[in-house]
Amino acid sequence: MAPTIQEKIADALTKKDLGNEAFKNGDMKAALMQYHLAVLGLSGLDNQMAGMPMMSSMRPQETAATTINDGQKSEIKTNLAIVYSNMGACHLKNANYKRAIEVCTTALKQDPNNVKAKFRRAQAKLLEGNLAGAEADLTDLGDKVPGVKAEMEKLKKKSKEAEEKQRKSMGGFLSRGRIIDPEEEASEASSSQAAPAAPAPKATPKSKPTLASKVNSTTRKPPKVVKDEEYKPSTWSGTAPKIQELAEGEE
Amino acid sequence: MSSQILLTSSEGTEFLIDRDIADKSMLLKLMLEDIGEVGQAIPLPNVSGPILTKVIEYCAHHRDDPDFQNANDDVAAEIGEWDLEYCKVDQGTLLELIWAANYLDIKPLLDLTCKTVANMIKAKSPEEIRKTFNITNDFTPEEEDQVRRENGTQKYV
Repeated sequence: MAPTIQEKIADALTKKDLGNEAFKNGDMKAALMQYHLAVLGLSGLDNQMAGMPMMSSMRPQETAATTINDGQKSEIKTNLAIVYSNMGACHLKNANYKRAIEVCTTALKQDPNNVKAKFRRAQAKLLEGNLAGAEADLTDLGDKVPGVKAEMEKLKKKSKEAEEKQRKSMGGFLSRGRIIDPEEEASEASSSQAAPAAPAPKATPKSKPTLASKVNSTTRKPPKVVKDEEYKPSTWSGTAPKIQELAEGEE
Repeated sequence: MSSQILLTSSEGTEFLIDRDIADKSMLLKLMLEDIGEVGQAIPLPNVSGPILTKVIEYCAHHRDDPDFQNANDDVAAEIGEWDLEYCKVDQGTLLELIWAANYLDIKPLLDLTCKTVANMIKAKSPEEIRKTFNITNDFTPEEEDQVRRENGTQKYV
């Protein structure tokens, strides 16, 4: 007898649990292995729910055990999001921020309300130096989510540092009497300064007007926010979940 | 030269394939990159042996394609001869290939199989499409009338 959908889900969840255990023991490689195995178990089931009514005649014969129902559908999506989000925690620990962001984005595709995935993505973006992206995620989470305030503080500090650096180099230019090309200045501002993507509490203190910005204040375009993926605001309402430690806690 | 990867299908059949072939699947590629040496067979509980055989056949045939991942991006482009032959399977197999390509994240195979289905629909009348996919016509004459009106000049409806 081939295993039923329910048995396959249960099997994948066992692997997720093994992954969580390995994570707690600090074995990131083993944790990632188990999480990947869980994905292999869950995501194939996910495919079969692709609604292709036109092709229903093409389907191999189906029984109750091999057909997926709505409850299982959402169970799969929720758990895939958790597994991907936990992979994100592993990648964060391994300082592999690029992959951490990737898997958290995958998690959010499965379940846009997965708070941990968004939080971990914000952490990874911050550590990677993508301040604007981190701020967008944190703002979206709202400061009722535990840990967000602390990350916002880190973000402010980082953007201040970046601004200091910018001002220093700017000062250097000015003292040598060079006229700053407005284009150049605008691009510098966009890369080193976290531009708020939403009308959120401003994380970046307003920079003092420099000579260039005074001269070109009418022609200057606002700095562009470079986002690494299309950002969809979550529908999550902002009630604080009972999560102790978002960075570490597993589900 | 290249290492080998052991895969097991849903029935437990084992497939030993070269790493570069496994890497055609983005799902497996990312897993292998994350973990390094896997040290065990990789279970694919949602792909059957016959379908996995077909999938591996495709990846092996295209293993040296320089731009594999974007091979079938061009919707208008003709399907190559080998690919055309490859897709001459019954509809059930074709559907399972689509699922497998989606599951394993093999984009060119997904594009190819979906394009094949599209070609089965292209330039056919509704009646011919119904025949092709064995669909019963559940429109009442009134509904059919409405569809015809909504679609204006469409000659087939």
